[in-house]
Amino acid sequence: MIEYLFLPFTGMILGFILGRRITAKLNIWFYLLVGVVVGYLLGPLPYYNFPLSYSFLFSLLGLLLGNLTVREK
Amino acid sequence: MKLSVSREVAVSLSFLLFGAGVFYSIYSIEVVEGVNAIYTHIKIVPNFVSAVLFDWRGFDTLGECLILINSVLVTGIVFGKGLFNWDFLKEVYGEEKCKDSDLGFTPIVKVLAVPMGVLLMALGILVILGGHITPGGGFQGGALISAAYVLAMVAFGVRRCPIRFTYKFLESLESFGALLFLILGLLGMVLSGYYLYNIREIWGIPPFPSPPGVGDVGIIPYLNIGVGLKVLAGLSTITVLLLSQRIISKNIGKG
Repeated sequence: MIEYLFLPFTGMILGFILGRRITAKLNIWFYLLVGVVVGYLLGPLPYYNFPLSYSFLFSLLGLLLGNLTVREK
Repeated sequence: MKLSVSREVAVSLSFLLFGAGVFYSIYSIEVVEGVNAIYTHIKIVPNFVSAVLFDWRGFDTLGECLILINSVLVTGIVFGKGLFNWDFLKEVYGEEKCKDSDLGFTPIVKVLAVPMGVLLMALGILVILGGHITPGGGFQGGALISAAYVLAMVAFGVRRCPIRFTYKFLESLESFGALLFLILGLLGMVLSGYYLYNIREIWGIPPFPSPPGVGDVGIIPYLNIGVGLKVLAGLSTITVLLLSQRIISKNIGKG
């Protein structure tokens, strides 16, 4: 399982680092919904047998988590 | 007022047309494994592009990174702290009226800039990480993330930009990216005797766990991440320097 999830989690870490630089208050549910739709349209990376692009979704999740830690109240 | 309305209509129409074009392209896009499937079985690298870019031409990629470092340095010298004569700028920036004024972008641009920037950043990360099995890689992904930053800068201006890549942050990213590339090259030298050798496993563990069928990707994804961070930092630094308002304000004693 780790071989399938290593890439998405790396993306999540990169997303978190970049998300900590976004100060705007992002609507989490909106971005998750859009992330699922865009991830479905993108499709998974070759050899990764997922229904949608988990790498994109996890990167977006990392961005949102990073944003949660710094965003303006 | 009349001008403003017609402008908004024009922007809406162009956005609709552009959006329809993008959605149509996404809907009809089709990627087949093709060449990947063949090379995976006979090469130790995931595909031919990775082999050419990082396995056979690792030094070339390193050189390309150094070109980017040089371009950032030169831009810094010309437009940054090295700006040798700013007397003429006092007339432009020295007036009290000159502030970070709103240049009057339509709400469409402002509303769309943040979501598009966030999605572009996620897409950039995906392109960086999938660089060893799909078209793309560090350069393209880094440029995408940098484009998100530029978009936010253009829409909101320097002071109200929702994506705050400080100069120090960009500097650290660029140094980290370049160091990651160099250190991974040295690791290859320590383990095999060849600089930038693509290490398949370290003590039986693959450096980047990948699903079966991809092959031994070795350190290529990490090299992609290094290049991606470097390109992102390099292009964003150039943007900051070209906007240059902060440095100029500081130099003429207003910052």
